[in-house]
Amino acid sequence: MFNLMRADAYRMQRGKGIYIVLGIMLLIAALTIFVFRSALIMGVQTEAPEIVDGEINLFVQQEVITAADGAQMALASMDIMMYFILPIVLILAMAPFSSSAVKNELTIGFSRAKFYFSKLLFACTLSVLFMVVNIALYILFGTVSDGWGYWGSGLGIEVLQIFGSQVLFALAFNSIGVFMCFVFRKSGVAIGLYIAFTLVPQMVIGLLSIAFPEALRAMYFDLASLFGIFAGMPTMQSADIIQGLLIGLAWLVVPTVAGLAIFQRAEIK
Amino acid sequence: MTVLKTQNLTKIYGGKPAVDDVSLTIEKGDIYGLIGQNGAGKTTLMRMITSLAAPDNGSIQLFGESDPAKINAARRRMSATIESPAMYPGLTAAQNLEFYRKQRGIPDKAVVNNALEFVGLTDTGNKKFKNFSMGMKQRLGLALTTLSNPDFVILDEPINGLDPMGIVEIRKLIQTMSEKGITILLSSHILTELSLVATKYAFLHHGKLIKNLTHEQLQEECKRALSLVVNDAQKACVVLETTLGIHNYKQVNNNEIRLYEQFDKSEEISYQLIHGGVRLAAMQEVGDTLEDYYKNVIGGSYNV
Repeated sequence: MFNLMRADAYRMQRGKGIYIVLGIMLLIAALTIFVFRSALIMGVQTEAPEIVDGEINLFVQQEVITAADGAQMALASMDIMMYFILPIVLILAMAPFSSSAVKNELTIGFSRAKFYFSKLLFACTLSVLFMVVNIALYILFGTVSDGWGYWGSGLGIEVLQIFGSQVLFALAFNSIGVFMCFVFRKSGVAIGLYIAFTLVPQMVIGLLSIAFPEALRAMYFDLASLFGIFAGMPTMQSADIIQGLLIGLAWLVVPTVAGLAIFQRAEIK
Repeated sequence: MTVLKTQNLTKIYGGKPAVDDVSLTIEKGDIYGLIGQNGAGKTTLMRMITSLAAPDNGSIQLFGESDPAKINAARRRMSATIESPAMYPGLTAAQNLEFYRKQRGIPDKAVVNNALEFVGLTDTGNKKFKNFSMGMKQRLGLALTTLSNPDFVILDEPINGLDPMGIVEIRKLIQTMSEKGITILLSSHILTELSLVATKYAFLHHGKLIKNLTHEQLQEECKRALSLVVNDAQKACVVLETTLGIHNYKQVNNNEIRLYEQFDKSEEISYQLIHGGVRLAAMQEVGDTLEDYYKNVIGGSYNV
């Protein structure tokens, strides 16, 4: 399995995809930090953002954006990772199918389980790495903007706790992405379903909550929503944290088991 | 040594058998040609051997292993190009092979260059696979099959879409692979082309294995001959040998002899036979071209 991942790393290095993702990540982090900063300087927005219950709260009196603010902003907007995970998964798990190169890989004795797990494991590793890069970029630009800021009162621990929970959700998104690649084996179908998975549940819950406010509770079952909910983890009830983490774990395990079971029996064209 | 043995291998799609009860044996050193029309079941058979499709019935034994776990390990000793050669389109020839070298855990980095040299693709530079001609793709496919120094190679229609020069090049490469001791299973729907490299043949039609023969048997069956229908074949043989000095012949039965020489002396032959007391009922040239033979093997079922 290590050889499979080593070869994929070699292939990724030679493509542009991964560098484009990193470039976009850098651009978004820089824009987020410096647009708020510019707004402060220009007096258009006199309040700097703060993270409250996983949402960026713009109505707090503050005049600078520091590394500490950057870290919190990164966590609050970490749900963007689900869109960065998609190209990673496509490059790793879809490319062998879209190029038909999968035939070269499965005909020489690699077990399908090894093949599946090698893609999932590598995609997960890269995703976590990208999350670290993402948060590091926010901290870097925050530092450049207004320095290190105030990290007291356990902020560092909170950032790590939130980041840890969000890693689980990112891994679950990898599991879903790899599942769609291995089951449907068509880029268009996998991309369409993946994007629908990130958007549709939130839209449906949002609409339902107009008539039934208690429907908002269903957000805990929506993986995309969990990213934002857990950004406010320090204010969450323990039971909600446990429920959210278990649901995240289920989204990680179930698609993996189902995807592998389907792929084991699939005919490779 | 038996490299591959299939027993009653069957694959059904939509209720119709694509491969129907196929049993064949490939021995070490064979260049085994699968011949059949498009849709005869050649690729499906290869896909089952290479694990891309699971058989609905029957068994596969590879290098003596038939247990599913062990057979997968045995597949490490083989390499295959099924349908058209597939590589990563954004990578060059060398990069593609380097990818597979790493994937297969081959420590010797020189194998990439050796494989490219073998197929004459060392000068492709930064040209990406997606910009390769069909001939270059086929050659790179062959390079990939040799990368891990396999004992058994499966090539599905390796001359598909090639110009005559490309066909000659691929044929030479296949022969070189065979000379290196690699057992080869290859498919084609062109018997004349296959006959230039294959040592054994299996004719597939509508998923069924309808004929299995060696190259020598094929040559024998396609051999042009002068067929003599006589009242006494044994007596006729004596005349042929003693009077006409003909030794290259075959007695088919008590009434038929096939001569494989002196076709141009039919008048002399008939004269001597009659003079020797043999009644000659018929004399005609027989024998098939490979195309005719192929059509005859497929026979009446051609339009079924």
